[in-house]
Amino acid sequence: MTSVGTIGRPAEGAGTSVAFSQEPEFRVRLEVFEGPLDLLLFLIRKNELQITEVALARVTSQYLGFIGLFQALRLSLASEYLFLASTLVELKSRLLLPRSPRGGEESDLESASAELIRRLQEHQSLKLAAMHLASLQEVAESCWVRPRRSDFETTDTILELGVLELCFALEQAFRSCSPPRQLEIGLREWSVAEKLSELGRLLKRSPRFDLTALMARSPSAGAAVAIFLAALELVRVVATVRLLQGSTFGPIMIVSEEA
Amino acid sequence: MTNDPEPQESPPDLEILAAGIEAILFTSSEPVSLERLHQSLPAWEPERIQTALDLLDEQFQAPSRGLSLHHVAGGWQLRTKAVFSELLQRFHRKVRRVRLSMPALETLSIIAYVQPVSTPEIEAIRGVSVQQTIRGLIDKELVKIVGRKEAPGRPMMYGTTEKFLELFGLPNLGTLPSIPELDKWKKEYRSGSPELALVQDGAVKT
Repeated sequence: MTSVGTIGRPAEGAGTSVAFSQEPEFRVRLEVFEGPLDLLLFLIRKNELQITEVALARVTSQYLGFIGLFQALRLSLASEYLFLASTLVELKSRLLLPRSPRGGEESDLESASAELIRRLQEHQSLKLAAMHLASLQEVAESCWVRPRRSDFETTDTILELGVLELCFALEQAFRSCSPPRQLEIGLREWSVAEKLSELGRLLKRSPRFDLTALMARSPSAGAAVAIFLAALELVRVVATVRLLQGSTFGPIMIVSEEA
Repeated sequence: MTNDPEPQESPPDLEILAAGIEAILFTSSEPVSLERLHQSLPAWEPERIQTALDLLDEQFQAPSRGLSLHHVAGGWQLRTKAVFSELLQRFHRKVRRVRLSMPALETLSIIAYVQPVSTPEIEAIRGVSVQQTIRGLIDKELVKIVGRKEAPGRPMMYGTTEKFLELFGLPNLGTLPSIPELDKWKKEYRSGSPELALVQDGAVKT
């Protein structure tokens, strides 16, 4: 079960604090049972059984009892608990019912129970290994070592600073580092006059060309605007120059009818 | 000056070496490897340093000594003898303790035995989510990321640290008992200690 808060055994403490809680988000972490395998192993051990199929069948009802209790206590129940419950019930029913002559379905169940037994044994070994580590730790803890903090400091200087000093130091650091280099990006001015002469040149070369395409090729929006204004100016001043647009939003052609 | 027919040779030399090593170990809070000792004592062969360590070990076993030499995490460390644990607690008014909960110990066991191992593999054995627990173990510097698994999602692979060996007083990972050895240990331990029953019932202090 993955949740917050702690209580000891589920049978006691949990009942008083949880059973009538209206808070759906109230969750309890059971220190004793870390997952369904843990619960199952606990039940088997409590009944002084070996990890066998028969043992699984014998503790099935107890296991289901705990599931019921968890649900009554509104403990959020991981789906693995229910999955294991279904496996157990299935195994038990198979043990109780007369064996079917057909083998097919059974072998599935058999492998399921073999797998469960294997996992339980693995889990048991794991518990043992953990206990062994705990005992090692206990021994190691009773042997004290030289504390890590030493009076012989290295050459590193250690200052005791409060938040204010740190803020001040930060400010100093900011101040002392050179101001960010200012990149001057020169503004390229596009003059309409310049574009006027450019348009004139272009018209001389080809008396009809696509103004929109020219604007699109220009290096900046400013240049495009300058080209457009220059084109309007040209139309206003030079009688032979016209702007043509075949359709709305279509390309604008600039035409010189001088010839 | 009389000429001693028996030339004074290695024994005092060895004792001085042992004393030097003791001084190094006394001032070190972490286990010191033979290599590091050799680096600081280049005039002596590693074998000679090992002999001096053996001498120290022997001398520390004397009942008049409060320390003993421990081979942990691939190095050597001076630790107080376990019998003085209570005395030290009384004197320092402190308990030396990095308490790990049973879930943490179980996850740590899997990592110690199976490493390198990924989170999904640990969860398959423990049957519960262990992400939180692993984070705690990493915070305590008992577990570290040792790589990524070449599997879908490229999960992190975890392994134990030097500090793990140190905390549990292990010379190296090879000294962790195998599963059959654990079974034997359990039988011996159970006969000697009624506490195991408590541990088994999950009543261990967490």
